[in-house]
Amino acid sequence: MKILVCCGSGLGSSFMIEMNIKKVLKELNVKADVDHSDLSSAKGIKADVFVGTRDIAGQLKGLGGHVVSLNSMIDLKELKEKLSETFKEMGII
Amino acid sequence: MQLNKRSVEILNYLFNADGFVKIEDIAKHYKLTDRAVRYNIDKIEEFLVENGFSYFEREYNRGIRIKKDDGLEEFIRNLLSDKNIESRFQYTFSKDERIKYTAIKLLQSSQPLKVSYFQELFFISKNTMLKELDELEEYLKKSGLKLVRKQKYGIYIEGSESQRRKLAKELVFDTLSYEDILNYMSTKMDSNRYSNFQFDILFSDIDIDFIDSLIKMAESELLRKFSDEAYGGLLTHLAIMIKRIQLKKDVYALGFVNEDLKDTKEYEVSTKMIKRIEEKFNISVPQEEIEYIALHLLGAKVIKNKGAENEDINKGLYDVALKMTEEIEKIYGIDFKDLKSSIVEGLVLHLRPSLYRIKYNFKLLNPVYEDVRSKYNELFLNVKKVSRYIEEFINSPIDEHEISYITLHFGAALERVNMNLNHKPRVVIVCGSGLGTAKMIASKIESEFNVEIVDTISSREVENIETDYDYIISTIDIGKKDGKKNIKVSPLLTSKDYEKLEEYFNYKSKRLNDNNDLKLVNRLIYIVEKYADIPNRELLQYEFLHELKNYKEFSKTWRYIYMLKDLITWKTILLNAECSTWQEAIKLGTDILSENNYVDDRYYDAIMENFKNIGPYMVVAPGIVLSHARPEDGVKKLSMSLVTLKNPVNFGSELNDPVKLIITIAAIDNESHLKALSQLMELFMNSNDMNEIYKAKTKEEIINIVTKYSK
Repeated sequence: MKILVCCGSGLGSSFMIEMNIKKVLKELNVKADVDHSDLSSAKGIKADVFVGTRDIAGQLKGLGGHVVSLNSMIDLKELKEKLSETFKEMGII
Repeated sequence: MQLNKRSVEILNYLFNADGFVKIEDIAKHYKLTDRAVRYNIDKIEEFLVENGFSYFEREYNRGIRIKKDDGLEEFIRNLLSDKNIESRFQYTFSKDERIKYTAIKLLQSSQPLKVSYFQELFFISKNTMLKELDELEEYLKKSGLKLVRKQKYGIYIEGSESQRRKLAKELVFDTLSYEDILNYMSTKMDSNRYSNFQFDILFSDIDIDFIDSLIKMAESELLRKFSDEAYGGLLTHLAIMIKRIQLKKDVYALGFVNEDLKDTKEYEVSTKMIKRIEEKFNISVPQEEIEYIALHLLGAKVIKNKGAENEDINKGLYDVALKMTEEIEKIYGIDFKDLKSSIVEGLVLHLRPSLYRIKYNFKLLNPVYEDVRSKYNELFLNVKKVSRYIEEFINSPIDEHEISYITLHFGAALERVNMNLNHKPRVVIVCGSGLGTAKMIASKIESEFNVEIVDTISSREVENIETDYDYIISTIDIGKKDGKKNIKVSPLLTSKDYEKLEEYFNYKSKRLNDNNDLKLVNRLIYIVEKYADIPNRELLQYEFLHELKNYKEFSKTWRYIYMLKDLITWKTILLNAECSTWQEAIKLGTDILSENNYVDDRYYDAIMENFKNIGPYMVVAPGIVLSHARPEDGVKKLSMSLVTLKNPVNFGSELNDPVKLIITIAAIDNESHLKALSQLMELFMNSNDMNEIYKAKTKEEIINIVTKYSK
């Protein structure tokens, strides 16, 4: 499974979210490739799950994967909840 | 081409003569030197052939005969009646040429020359001539010579004989190339009008064929063949020497005495040459000249060497040449393989005379020095570096002209192993993801490999690349197929990618190949063996190799890692700032960076543009904005600023407003800031420390917290 985190420039927040996702994945005991990119590049990358903050998430729909929209990128609890939900939808957990 | 008056007369003379005419007879008839006649004859012949007539018949000991082709008689009659012939062939000298010519003429003259003499020669006014004499005076001063002008008496040059000769030679080589001299020697004529003047001064009244035969004698006695330049140099030197002695300017102190010199074969040959010169010109050549010629012979560049040389010097030189060659191999990351021995031998051959030149401060000017510096400067500097082995060997510094010769030697060697030094492969980087990645790949590749990155573009632009290129390096599959190589790499440039790139490009600095690793390891084992027993050699070899490989992997990827505290510093913290709009808040953060010259003004605009296009996505968490744009938006240095606001402002973020903390990040690539960013993330998630940040009154408090996360 591949998770792609997107932000406006692909430099900062997406990487920070990526770090947190890796933490959450460990807790959930799920294996996945996590990568980050900027919004425009995301359109050329295939992934099973796209993650972005609220303002970005709208643009991630239609890329052919599940979309996780985050309100705060530092809220681990929110991230864990939303990821678990998505994984359940996907039948992974 | 046109003939001058004299040539037309000679042509007429030849035509009317019965049968063969000897050059000497023509010379006598026209009161010219043999050489001048020969020159004219060649011109005439060329002219006739150009106009559809036959070549002269030339026979040894009988001279030349003109072939009476149909229409030749009328042709000559027309030439003779041409009234314009007088004014023809008047070459105008440039100012520079006039000054140099005047200098040469004065240097060669035994008596003062009148200013009017030069005026007539150059067809210039007295005023111009006087002005140019002022410049000549300055020019001579630089060479330690003095221009003396005396009313009614004339002008002459004052100074030591050695300096006069040195300048004379410099002037000759300034205006005459070795090719000119060789060309002249083979055809006895020159196409360049100005250099003809030079030849006239240099070789008039001197039988250069005789000098030529002297040099050939020296070559056969010494069992070697001089290079063209060495030949030209010797020829000029001998010609100048003979002229000077004929002018009774034979006081020539060498400034050093060298007893070893007398034991050399070169000294013996030099003595022979001088003896023949004395007989031929009926002059007495002082002893010092023999030494000087001997040095010339020792210092002459050689292209072939059949003789046995001094073994000790050769052994030492061989070592020097080998060391230099091996270091060049290392620097360029190549292996000369089979060519190595011939490269080293060629270098020895070149260095042997260089040593004498350096030792006796014998300056050999490289006519293509400037070319070398502009075309092969990198190689030149590397060669300069490896030339320290020569300096150590002879214990004396080596000048840049000598280095430029060695540069040519290595330049040729490198070209033989297909390393094109001038043409770096032109590479276009294509990136599927952000341009930032492409830029980063470009800078990495450019710093590691000998390539020129001509453009970094997105995959969409591939179809219309405008610049000329040799290779495309891309992170995605691209469909472009125009015969140019497309190398696909991962955006992170893994070691696999490096291996791939290695096939196409040369590393900038030597990356030891496995073969060298093994050699190194064997040397290490040899050392270990001296002090300990090795029960399992192969295993030790394996472990050493493994260690070496790890070390290299490490050194390849190691880069300085920026911690959060390296970026958030005294200079980039602003506390309890006041502002009323979010735009102002962003500006506070970017201003700190631009004041420190970390970013330029474009950076703020780019961030604003992002907000406009994507919305307040940079307000990443309640109260926090992570203000940033891309490296290419005007970032000069990786940096970060931290601003807290006295009164929070709204960014229009539904969930995370109002904002109290503005972190502005200026990244230079996609990677170098990540460590600090992850530390910042840790900080964001600790609400206690975040509260401390919001409340902080002093920069010190911030720095203490930041330091806590910088591990």
